Amino acid sequence: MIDPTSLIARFTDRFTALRLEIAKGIVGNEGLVTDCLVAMLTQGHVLLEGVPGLGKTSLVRVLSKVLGLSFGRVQCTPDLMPADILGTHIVNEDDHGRRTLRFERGPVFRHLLLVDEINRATPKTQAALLEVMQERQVTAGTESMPLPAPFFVLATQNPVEMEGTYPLPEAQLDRFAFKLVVRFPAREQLVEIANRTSGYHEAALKPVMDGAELEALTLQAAEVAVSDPLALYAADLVLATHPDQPQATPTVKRLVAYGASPRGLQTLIRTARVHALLAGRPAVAAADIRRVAHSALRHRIIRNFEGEAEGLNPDKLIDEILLTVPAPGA
Amino acid sequence: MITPTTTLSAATAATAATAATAATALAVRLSGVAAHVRRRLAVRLWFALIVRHLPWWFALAALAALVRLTGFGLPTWSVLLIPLWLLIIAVLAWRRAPATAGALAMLDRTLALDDLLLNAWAFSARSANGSFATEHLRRTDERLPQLDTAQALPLALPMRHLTALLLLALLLVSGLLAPVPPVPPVVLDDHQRSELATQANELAREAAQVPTTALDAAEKAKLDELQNRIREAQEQAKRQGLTQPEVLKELDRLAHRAEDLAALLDQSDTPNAALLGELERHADTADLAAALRAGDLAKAAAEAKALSEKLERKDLTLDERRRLEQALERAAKADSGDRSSAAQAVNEAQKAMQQGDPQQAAKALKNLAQNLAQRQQRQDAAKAMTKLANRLRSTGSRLLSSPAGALSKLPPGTRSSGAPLAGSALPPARFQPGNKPGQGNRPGNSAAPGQAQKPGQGQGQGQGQGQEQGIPVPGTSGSSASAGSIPVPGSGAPSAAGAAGAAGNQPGGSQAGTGHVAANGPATTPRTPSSTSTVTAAPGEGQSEQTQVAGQVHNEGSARALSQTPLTMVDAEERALDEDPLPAGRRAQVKAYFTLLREQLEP
Repeated sequence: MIDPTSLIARFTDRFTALRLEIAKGIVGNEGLVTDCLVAMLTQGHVLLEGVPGLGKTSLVRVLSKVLGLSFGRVQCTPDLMPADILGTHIVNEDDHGRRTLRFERGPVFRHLLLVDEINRATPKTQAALLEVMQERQVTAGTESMPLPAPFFVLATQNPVEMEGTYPLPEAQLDRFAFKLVVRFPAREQLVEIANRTSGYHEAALKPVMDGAELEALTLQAAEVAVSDPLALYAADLVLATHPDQPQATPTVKRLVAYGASPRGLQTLIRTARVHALLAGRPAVAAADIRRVAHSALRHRIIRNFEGEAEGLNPDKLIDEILLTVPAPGA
Repeated sequence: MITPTTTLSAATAATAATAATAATALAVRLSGVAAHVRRRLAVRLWFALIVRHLPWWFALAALAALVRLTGFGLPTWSVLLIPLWLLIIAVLAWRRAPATAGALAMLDRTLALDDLLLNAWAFSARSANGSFATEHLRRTDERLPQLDTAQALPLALPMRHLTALLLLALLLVSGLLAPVPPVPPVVLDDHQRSELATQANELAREAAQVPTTALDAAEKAKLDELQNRIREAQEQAKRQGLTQPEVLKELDRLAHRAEDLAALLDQSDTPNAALLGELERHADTADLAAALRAGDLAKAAAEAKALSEKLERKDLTLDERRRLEQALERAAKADSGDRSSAAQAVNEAQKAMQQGDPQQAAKALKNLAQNLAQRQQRQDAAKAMTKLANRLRSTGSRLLSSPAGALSKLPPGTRSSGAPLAGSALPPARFQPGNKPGQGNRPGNSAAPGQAQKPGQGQGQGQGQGQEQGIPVPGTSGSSASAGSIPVPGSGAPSAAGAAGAAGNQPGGSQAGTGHVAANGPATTPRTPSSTSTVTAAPGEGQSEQTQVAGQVHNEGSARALSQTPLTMVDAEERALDEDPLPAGRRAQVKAYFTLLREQLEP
């Protein structure tokens, strides 16, 4: 039996190594990178939201390289069909001239799938990702084909250009562990970006770990202890997003139609565990849960008509919830 | 046989058991820490509540200090409010202090332990045996001795709060807790003692003037005792150091004695209405009955004596004798168990007349005359005693409260309507009968008695409109009855009568029975019938007695002075006052008011 202290130390070391390697390809955005890694260490999918040109696609590519994972990319357009993502049966003629149907795998059969501008795909195409993200398999006809493990979907969407887009349905959104907002870089970061990427040679990145090690770290993170008061606190946070629950704040009751699902609670606990390990602790603290609350809950809060009309910002709502819900043990 | 697998399982089990024991021990230690933290939190919360309530206590203490400056003090038990308040908020603080988990979470937050203690308590409580949970417990076990809860949750109050508490304590001691010094009784000064001596002399003189001829031995003894007490008060007035409460108390006691004696002397002996009514129907006994009804005992005695002498006369005609016999017989029949002296005398005289013995009947009536005369004397004595009692009360008031007449000098308008209040100003004018006590003149009221027309003078048109209700008299139109004067029965419309009276300036006006009399005037003198005869008005209906009164100019008066009504009310108020638990000084002040009122009302 390995000493938990050494396990925690090893986890932290490996994570730090990943961060350092990623930093070679991505300037700034440390929080974003950390959140992406945290989500991936819980086998969670990530939705990246930001205006074009902030390096969302670059981040995914860097991640695939550093993690040593196979990379697939889908550029969503309104005429993109599910078969373009999942793959399709094609007629194949063998050497003897016999024709058989063969399933030609789509780009989804990679460890890391970048779904660029996901909200430009039609709902039909978006729905093709539901099974992929939850069951990690593709069903074509009567045949189900598992995806390679680990499997992650990192999708991007542009919040500005809304014309010709199809907002993701709630079921789709709920399958993303985190929704991360990509902020515009600061002045110093812009200078660094200019210095580093104005040439024609990309930074040479080397894989720090492979998929197997990533899965092993995921299993380690799942071992982190969560006490009942902390689990209750996380549950209260989730319940506070529901307008019909007693924990709900007045703003939630007024402006929210639906709150976070149990998947939201799972995400809170799982990602908090990773943060606890990163802090060198063997048990989750309330601070870990608060740290991931925005990323895990912001896309799971569905505003009602009044909320949308008032332009309710889910992040501010979560701030209010964090202030209102009593701390653990209180 | 022990295999390697068995050995490994045993070792694992032993490790698990050791871990469970350690977890239990840690849980106990954590509970101890939590209890300690809870106590400290409760005390801190208690302090916070005290500080939160400080403004209210400052306000209360300031109020108590102000109240004390005015000479009053809060009751002694109010001191208990402070420990009671402290106890209540202590209980409140203890109830609001967090439980074990909350206390540990609070300590975690205070010391930035990232829920170390809370998680440890939860893991040990549910015996979590995961490797990470065990590691957490181990770390907590190592960290626990290093925790300093006293430093994390200090109990010291900030200096400004301590200063505020000290200031509050000072205020409370000076304003709330300090006993109010007893007010020393006010000692009479030389002027007051001199005044008291003068008043006591007058009281002694008045007491000596009370007629005693009709008093029995016991009553005389009581009067003697009262006189002795007054003489003692005369002597006491010379003593130095005599205090106001002593004087008031003694005067009040003497006044009560005088009133008791007056009540004893003034016992009613009025015959019943049926007997009087029957006597009034007969010419020979009408005057006696009228005097008895009016309460004029002296006149009633004279009438009884005249009747007695009439019966004793040798020249009493048969007609007169029969008439008297018939009157007495009917009166005796009308009497139904009346035990008054008049009723007894009438019964006795009637029996004597029935037996043909007018002399015996005359004797009974003579006895009645003597009895009435004696009762008149007792009534006079009772009046004197009542006057003495009032004088005793007014003496205390005059002596202690203000110089004589100070009450009437109070600014007008300070007096409220309704029942007269002690300490309020008297109206500048004399009390006007017909107005309710406590009311002054109003627009539309008639002139005061002193300003009203003489008896027999007519009233002008509209006179009396808008006035308070006077005494209703049968035969008058009630709404036009004017206050301060009583319409005579049989009067017509006041406007016409008044106009006629004014025009003719004849007593009673141009119509018989029309006119007004002063309320405070003498009672109407019953007129002597000019002749009385027995007639048979209708066959078979028996005989009727006909009394004739010859018409003549005369003055009508009220049977009862209107001023008696407010006097009766004042008496009733005064009796009610005696039953109320009032301070002696206050009682004396109100009594003084009543006395002054009575003096002004009495004719």
